[in-house]
Amino acid sequence: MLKLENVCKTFYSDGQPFDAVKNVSLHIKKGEIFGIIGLSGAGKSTLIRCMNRLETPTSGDIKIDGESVINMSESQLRKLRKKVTMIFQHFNLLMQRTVAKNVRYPLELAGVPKAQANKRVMELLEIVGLQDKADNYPSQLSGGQKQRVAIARALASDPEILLCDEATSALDPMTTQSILSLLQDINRRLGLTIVIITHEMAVIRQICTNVAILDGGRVAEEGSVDEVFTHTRSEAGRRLFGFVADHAKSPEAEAPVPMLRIVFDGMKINEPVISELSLKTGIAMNILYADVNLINGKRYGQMTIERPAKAEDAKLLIDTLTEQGITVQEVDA
Amino acid sequence: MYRKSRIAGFILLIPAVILILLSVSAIFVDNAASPLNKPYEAIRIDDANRLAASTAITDAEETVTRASTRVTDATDAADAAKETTETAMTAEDEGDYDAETKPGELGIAIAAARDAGLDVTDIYDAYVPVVNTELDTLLSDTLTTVKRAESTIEDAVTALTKAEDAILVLVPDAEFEALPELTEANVPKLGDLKGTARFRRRADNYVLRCETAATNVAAVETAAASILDTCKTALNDYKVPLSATLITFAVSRALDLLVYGLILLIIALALLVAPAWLARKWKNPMFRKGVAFIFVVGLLAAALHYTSGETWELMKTNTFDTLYMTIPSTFFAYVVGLPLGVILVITSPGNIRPNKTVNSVLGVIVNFLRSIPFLILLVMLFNVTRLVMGAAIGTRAIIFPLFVAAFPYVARIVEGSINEVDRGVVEAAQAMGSNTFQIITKVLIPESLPSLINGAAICMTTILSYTAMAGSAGGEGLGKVAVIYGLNYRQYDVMYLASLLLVALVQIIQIGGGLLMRAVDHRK
Repeated sequence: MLKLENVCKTFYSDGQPFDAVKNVSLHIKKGEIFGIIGLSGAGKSTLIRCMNRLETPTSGDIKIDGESVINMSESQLRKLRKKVTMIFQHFNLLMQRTVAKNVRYPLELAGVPKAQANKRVMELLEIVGLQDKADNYPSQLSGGQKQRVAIARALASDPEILLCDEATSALDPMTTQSILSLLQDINRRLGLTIVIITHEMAVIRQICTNVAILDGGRVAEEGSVDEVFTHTRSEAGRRLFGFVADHAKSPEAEAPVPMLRIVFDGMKINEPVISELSLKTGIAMNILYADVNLINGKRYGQMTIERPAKAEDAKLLIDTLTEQGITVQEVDA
Repeated sequence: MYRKSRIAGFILLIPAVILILLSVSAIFVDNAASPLNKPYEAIRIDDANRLAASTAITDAEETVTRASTRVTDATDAADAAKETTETAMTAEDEGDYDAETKPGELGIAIAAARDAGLDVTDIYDAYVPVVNTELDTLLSDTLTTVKRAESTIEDAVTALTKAEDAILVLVPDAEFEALPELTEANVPKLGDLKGTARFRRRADNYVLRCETAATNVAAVETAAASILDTCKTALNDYKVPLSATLITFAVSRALDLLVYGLILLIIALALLVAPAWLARKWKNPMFRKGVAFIFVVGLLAAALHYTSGETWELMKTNTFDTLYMTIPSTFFAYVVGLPLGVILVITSPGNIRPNKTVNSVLGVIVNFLRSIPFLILLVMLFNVTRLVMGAAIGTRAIIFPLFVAAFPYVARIVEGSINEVDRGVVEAAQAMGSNTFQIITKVLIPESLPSLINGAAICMTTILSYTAMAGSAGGEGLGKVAVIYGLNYRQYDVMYLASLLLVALVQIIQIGGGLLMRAVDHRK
């Protein structure tokens, strides 16, 4: 579907070259939700902009359905961009147009007759659940609603690929959840291929099937989300997941007992997760190892506890944590 | 609650509408110095000229026909006079006198008496005055006819001259080859003859002059026909003036249409759209403010319109002149400045159509024009102004230099407004497959509309302040009045009044622009 081969992008500022993307090769399959995660400056935005040619790669090739986008003419590009649409961190809605007219914009570009376009707009607004806001202006909407409008707008031209550029980074966790569910829903219902770039692990974990970790413009690690998450190989990956500790020092190597690894990827610090868990379940826990960092008032890192001997106790713990949206992995000795 | 304020709105609107209607009707119908008079004055003069030409041609034609008739009469009368005189002379020579009552019969009786050997001297003496009287009557009839013919010829000449003049006004470069013929067609003046001995000479003279008159009339007829042809051709050709005046004509008509079109548009909006909007949007506080604003401005305009007195007449005319200069020059400055501003933005480095050459060349032009003070620009442009506007000085001519001074300013203001548009939104438009034109018309301009409106108000007030220098190039306006009365006549009250009106105009533009800006602003 979407294939990147040795994509490089070099910027020049004051004559000094800066390699934003280095030799990135990715293969994104039809119908999947592909996540690209990395810290700021990792080159994610540049990379996703190369996919619809808002940026032109310095070298390498990008193929969509086997067709290279590198040498496309202006008019071919305009056609491509109706097939590969995009949503943004700051929504980028037209503030002087109503919600309905924002969604109608791509239809106007395509020259769809007005009556037909209006009908389609209402269908799209129904998909994102904003029919009643059709005549409102974006300034009257909340962040989540704005992103829904942006999604409706991106869907208007019946795209095959949706690029999400930090689409949830400006939203609070609750809204992020709902936007992610919406994306997942669209992916399932319309069979849309979605590429998400983000710096939030939670986003990747919630909806992505495959993930690539970008570090310093290179792909540090790539694979299915489960695999990358449970068997983080790269330094960049561990940094992102909050695993600062050297893998060699982790208790799994030493303690010969079954363990549970609790992963914190962005919880608020005022949530007493472990105490509550203990009080709720009535199970005493033996913390073997913990490495939690606070970044921007959020917790990142992991804690390893001894797995309760009783299977139902262990299940209860896992279920309770999963309910709270916390990842728990079983680690065998 | 809304219902109440809606009713209040309508009550407020009714006097406003009445006032506007009154002012408008007064402006358009009664007032000789009304704004509509001015632009259509030229058209009216042209129409009057064409009408005068047509009338003159008709007159000429009629007069020439009359002249022909009169000349025929004159020739007939002269012939009759000639015949009678000849008969009388023959009778006199032969002693063939007519009877007492009828000269012919008396002559026969005298001849018979002479044949009979009678002395006819007494009878003959008695007969002569009778013949003389007869001849006098005939000759005076002839004279009258000749005089009438001559005066008719003069009429014809006058009518043709009028036709000629009318055509000359219309088409100054038209040539009339028939003119010399006309001047040659002079009519000899009549002498005064006395005594019976000169009957024949007089009669001959009259006859000669009748013939001359007839010849003259024939000449006049030929000349007239030629002039009439030229006149008619000129009148037909006049429908499409081919000279350079056409450009001036078009430009001035365009300006007039623009100014009055705008005025009519505003009135139409106020009368047709406002009530419908009122009912729907009265609860919108922005809208209430807008209605109040239009009401106050309408009230001020009506108040100004209905004032009288010399000073106020001066103020009225010059307020109109100020607007007459400001509105078209702002409009044309935007026609050029808006695209220029947009091009300056999109060709700048890192924008959607980066082009260093175009950007820097336009930038230099804009900076160059902006750095020349308006008064100097006004003088520098004299020749160009004459070429474009048909005149270098005067209220209408000033519009061109105002436009040249304003469009670079407008371009910079527009550039600033367009630059306010979020780059992300432009990127989103690109990501949706918009081309450059679509980005300009669907994103850049609509998204910066409130800022553009605000900028337009600023530009308009700047241009308004430039019009104060119009006096230096023969223009009128409040600025000139303030300068002339303040500086030359030391009539400070007039100066302050004119300045106060300028301040009021700036306030109206600024407040109106602000209201409009907030009304179209959905960004916050």
